[in-house]
Amino acid sequence: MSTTSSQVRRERAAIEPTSLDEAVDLLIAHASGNRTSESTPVAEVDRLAGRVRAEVRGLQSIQGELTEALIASQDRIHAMKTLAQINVQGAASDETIGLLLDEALALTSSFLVVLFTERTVRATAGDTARLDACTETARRSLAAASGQLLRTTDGDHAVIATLDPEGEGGNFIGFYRRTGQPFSTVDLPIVDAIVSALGVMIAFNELHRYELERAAVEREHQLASALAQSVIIEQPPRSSAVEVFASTTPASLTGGDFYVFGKTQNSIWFAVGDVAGKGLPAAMLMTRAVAACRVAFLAHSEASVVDVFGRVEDELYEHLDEVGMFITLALGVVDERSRSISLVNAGHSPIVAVRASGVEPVAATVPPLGVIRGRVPTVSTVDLDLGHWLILGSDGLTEQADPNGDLFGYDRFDQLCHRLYLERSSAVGESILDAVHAFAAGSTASDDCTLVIFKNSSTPA
Amino acid sequence: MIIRTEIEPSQRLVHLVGRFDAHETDGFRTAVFPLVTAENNTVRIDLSQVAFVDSSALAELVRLQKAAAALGGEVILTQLSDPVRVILEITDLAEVFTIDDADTSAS
Repeated sequence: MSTTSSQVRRERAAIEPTSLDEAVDLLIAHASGNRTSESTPVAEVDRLAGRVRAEVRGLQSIQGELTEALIASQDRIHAMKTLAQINVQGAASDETIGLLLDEALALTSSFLVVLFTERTVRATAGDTARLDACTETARRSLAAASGQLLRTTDGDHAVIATLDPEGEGGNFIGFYRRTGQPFSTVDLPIVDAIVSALGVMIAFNELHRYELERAAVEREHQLASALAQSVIIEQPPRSSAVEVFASTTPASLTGGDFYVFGKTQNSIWFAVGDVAGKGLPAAMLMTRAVAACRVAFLAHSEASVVDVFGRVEDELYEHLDEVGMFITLALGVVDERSRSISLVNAGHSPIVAVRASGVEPVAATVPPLGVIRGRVPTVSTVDLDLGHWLILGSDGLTEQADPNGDLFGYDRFDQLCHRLYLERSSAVGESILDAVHAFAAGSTASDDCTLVIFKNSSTPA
Repeated sequence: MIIRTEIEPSQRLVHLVGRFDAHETDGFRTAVFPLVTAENNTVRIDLSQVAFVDSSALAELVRLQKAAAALGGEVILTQLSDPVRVILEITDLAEVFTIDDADTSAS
């Protein structure tokens, strides 16, 4: 008996296939009659066939699993592609964030995905029936582990992630699965990918909103600049005795240069000034200076130039001192009967009296307004009846640079003024502005350019 | 513009090189204003290598002078370059500062 059993075992060992190939080979051998043993009972053939079928079923099962995994992988790749496309195509809107959350819902097999901050729910996707409970769970999780970027909670049925950890947005996203479908480490890469995509999108969103806000501020800035510049009444006063030319061009939307006139029965009060600094702050001060001059001209038209200057200084000094700025200012009055001009100069340039014999600067005798209070300026006089002119410019003219960086300069300005001595005031003004523009040869205007000219209208041209 | 500061026990020195205009005022304010304190209320500014000064820059110097004066000190302008000297004269701002043309360059 033992011998028989031993023999049978040997025979079985001899024909026992160890792989599908061997089993198939054995079956083929039996089918072709090329037996490796003396006899093969039917039962043995059935057993071998059963092994083959079992192996085949095993392979089919593995194939099925592989196919499912492949399909799942393809689905995820497709979903990731969709995520990426949302990211690229979505021009940072709440709608695109909603699309991304929908994809996140499908990708993570969640029933709910919530984008939230510490105070509010920004967006959701999925079944929101348990939204309050879910967000409460998330906030508890955040409170318990505030330093972590990724947290699982609720028995691994929820994952809470921090978006933009270096930003100040305080945005979080929560993924929630139903009972019996906990998250595992396998899910974390896709969660990371979603968090990354959403983080980028929110960053775009923030940037987009910032740009919109900046555009709004820019529009307001433009409006404020236009309003500020509008305080300058471009048209100079008409006078039968005196030709007046006036022009001011800000270097940007608005500037700190200004001129202002105050016409009374027999006189023309005027001021030409430049607020140190640029942009809207300078423009705001400029409007205040223009208002101060107008009030002083109207209220004290019979006062002396020094007194009117003092009134303007009184009105402006404290504010200038407070904000740490100053205004260069030339202020004076044209007596239309005598055709003479009296003026004071507080740090302003260039101001020149032009005569047939040459050009004489009207020097500053006090510092600009806002620097030292109460200094009494010296009054200069220009007699138009003697054929003298008065030209008041601003430093934007003399400091205009050419492409080589050389400045137009005071000497060139003085020579040009003298060369134009016989021209009418409007021609002089246009010629000076043209000359400075030509000198710049395309270089950016370095500063505002202002020019005011007084000339005896009866002076032969 | 290059701003170089020297902090010594007895004084604060500032060397400016290049164009000092509206584009440079923020940097000047950041670098130089903190030098003026209650304990060290006077600062010397070397302007020998300043090629250009505009009104915005002058306003910064005036502001610094006022800040120093409020602490009992002053701003001393040294070694004025020609462009600086001209603009200070034209604007009548020279009297606002103490001007020392002695060579104080420490390095």
